[in-house]
Amino acid sequence: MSRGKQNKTDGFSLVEVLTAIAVLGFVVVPACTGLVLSFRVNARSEQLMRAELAVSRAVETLMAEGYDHDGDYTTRFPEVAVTATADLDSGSDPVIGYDLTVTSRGGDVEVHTYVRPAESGGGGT
Amino acid sequence: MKRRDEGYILIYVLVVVVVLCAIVTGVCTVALRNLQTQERSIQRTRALYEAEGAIEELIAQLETYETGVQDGDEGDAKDNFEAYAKGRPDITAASKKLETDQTTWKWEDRDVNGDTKAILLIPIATAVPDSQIVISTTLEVLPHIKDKSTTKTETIDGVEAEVTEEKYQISGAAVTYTSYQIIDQAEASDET
Repeated sequence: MSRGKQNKTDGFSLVEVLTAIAVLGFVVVPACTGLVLSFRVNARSEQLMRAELAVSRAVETLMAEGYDHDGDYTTRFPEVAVTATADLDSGSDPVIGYDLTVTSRGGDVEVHTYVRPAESGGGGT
Repeated sequence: MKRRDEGYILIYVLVVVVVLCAIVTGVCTVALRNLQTQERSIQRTRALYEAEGAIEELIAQLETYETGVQDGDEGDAKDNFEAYAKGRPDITAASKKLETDQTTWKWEDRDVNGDTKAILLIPIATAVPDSQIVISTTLEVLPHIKDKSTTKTETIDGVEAEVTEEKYQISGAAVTYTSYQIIDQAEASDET
């Protein structure tokens, strides 16, 4: 078969290929950015979930056992920071409870609650 | 008639583009929904512990209260405890609101050891945005007589009368959650 008789549809023209690459480029770049973004969003969700679980675990334990003023909660709950303010009955001893703030280490989750002292046997719930 | 077959690559490319866009949009939507759900879950957790803390605080305050009753019965002590619980403005902290005005407090006498059961319905508005918790609890309190003293007084007629004064204090309390309703206002507005 001579070159002159070659079918005009064989292969793609250079213009077609270049146009296709350009169009794909316009789409693939934002698509990849979107995918990367969604991976980051997923990672953030997982981070929040872990923080929430850690905070819940600490709060549930403290509500059940009560707060011990001398307790080492930094070692016991390394993923959270526990802050307690004593609630004194009419401004004097004994401490009837603690206003408790439990914050995840990243600061994503912060929970405020009230717990009883450990010596009182914890919460009534 | 000559058929023109050029330009098919553009159609293939467009199909690929549409499929890619659909996949990426789907993945992004799922990721964002996941994040929103997680954030709502955190709000609920915060509201939940604030509400439980408010109830715990109420019990702690109740246990420190002592009520005296003169020549009265246990019912008067219960009434006093109820009035005290409803009238404690310091239970309402800035971060949470225990709506004691709406508190329904119903006492039920029990036969065993004179224990008393109070049914306390507490709507709690928490400081957590868009989250409100309505909790129905059964608060079981155990008032006991701390002191009992009898004094003899002489009336005008010269007749001796005995006045008995009893001091009641709550020795223990246990809370059972009977219903738990979390009203997520953000979710409700999304649905409408």
